[in-house]
Amino acid sequence: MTEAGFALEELLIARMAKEYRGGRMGVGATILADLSARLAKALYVPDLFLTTISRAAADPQIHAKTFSDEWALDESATMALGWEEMFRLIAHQKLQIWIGSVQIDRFGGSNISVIGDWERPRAQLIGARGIPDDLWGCETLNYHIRKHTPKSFVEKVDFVCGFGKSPDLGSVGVQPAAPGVVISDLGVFDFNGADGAMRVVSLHPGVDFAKVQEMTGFELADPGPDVPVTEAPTAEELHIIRNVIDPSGMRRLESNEATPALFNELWARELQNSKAGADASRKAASC
Amino acid sequence: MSKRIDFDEMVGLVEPGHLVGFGGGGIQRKPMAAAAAIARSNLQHIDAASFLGGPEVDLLIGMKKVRRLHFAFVGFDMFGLAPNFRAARQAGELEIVEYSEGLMMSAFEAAAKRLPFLPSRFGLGTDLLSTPTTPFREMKCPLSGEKLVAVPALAPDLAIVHVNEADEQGNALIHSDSYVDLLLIQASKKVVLTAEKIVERISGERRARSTFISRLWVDHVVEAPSGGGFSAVFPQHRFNMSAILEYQKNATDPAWLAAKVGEL
Repeated sequence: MTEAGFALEELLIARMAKEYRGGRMGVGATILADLSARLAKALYVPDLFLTTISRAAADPQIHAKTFSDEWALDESATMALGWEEMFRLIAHQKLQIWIGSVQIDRFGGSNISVIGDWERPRAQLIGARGIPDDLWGCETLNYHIRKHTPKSFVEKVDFVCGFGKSPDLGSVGVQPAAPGVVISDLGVFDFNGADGAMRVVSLHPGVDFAKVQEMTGFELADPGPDVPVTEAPTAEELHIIRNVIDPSGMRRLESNEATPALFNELWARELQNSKAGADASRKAASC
Repeated sequence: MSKRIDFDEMVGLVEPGHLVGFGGGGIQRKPMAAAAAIARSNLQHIDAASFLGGPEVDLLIGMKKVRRLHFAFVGFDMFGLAPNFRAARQAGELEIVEYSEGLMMSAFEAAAKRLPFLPSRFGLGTDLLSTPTTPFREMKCPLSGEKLVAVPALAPDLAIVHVNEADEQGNALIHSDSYVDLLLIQASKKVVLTAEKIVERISGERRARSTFISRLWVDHVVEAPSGGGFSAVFPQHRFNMSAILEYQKNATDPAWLAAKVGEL
């Protein structure tokens, strides 16, 4: 918690929530991004179509985030969204997504597959997953980079899962996504710099450009002294985050205090709550 | 005619060099008991396909059963990376064929339709088209002239999918996210379902959001209560967090893993 009365995670959720538009899917592939989609639906985009870890519980009402959303959203989900239908929706560009990338580069290339050489990587990550597909299903791809370091903000990604600005694609039938907004623990960035390079949009409270440049693996244009400060979450946003969409504090799992002990603590509380909920509904049913 | 078999008979269907496809996704509804049965056997050099791989392929890799892995993702969802997949790749001991989600769906769909390939846009402009094992080829659409990707069919010799319930004829229901399991089943030469329970008859009444699998696709069913192991099987049980964290911490220790495979 900062002196300002909110945590960095809350600022990130509120800022990410500003990027969703209505009548489409809103997907957050990190915990904070998932919460941002819920916050957007609660306050700004009531017809946002949410899908969570389980497509079997798609288009639910606003609900607190849990480890087991399939259980939590069962009552309020509208439909099971099959993966084939989801990919047809992607073909019709009905996806908006915040992707948690491990590397992002100067022109918006992204990588969640390998660090180092693909044939024998220094670090094997999770595989390209949906990024090559999302390129053809979004107007823009937004990225949530949890830790801003010279290893995550790189001149050129080690493996291109998502291409950035102006890829050389030849004759294609559909316009692919452009890299959109990048948010890290230091600031907000986009790709409207010179030649489509990454540039600073705003810096989070207490962060100066020298720090950002030091933690970035390529040269960024200096935004000057009038660089905006990322807007603080409003009282209303903080209320929704703390009391409606994340009362148990799942957002702490993407803070610096995340440990296996925190996982266990949040999980124990969730199991206790679900048991209390089940007991209450049994009691109600027997009345 | 009953299609019921046991895990030993299921393992007997697999031969070295076979491609075995696993259902579920990440730490959701993984056929853990089936994977452990293969891991305990003398089988070696099998190829595996998992759309969103999790602990099932990780333990097979750790037990040195996998020669080549086709995948779009391998991981433990919010719990992070898969330890044996990671270790084997970093040691240069595992051959992989990397897909995206959409590319793997097209590969299964092509096999399900018994076509040699299906066209896609996915992969264009990415390094998936230039890995040493890439099965994809850029092509020019014969109708529009635009650039597309030819995605070759991927037809597993055996698909193994964990379901909530099945009957002895092989009709079955999945209540949770079915991922691409129907495509996997329809793409595969043989299909084994492992079921939390085998019922006399899958009733006409079912949850509105469940996925139905017809017996016409299914060769065998294995009754496997808790066959999802520590992965989540909605609505039967949530994932077992302490077991997942323990696995991630210890699974690259061969003795620990062998003992774990014995338990599952």
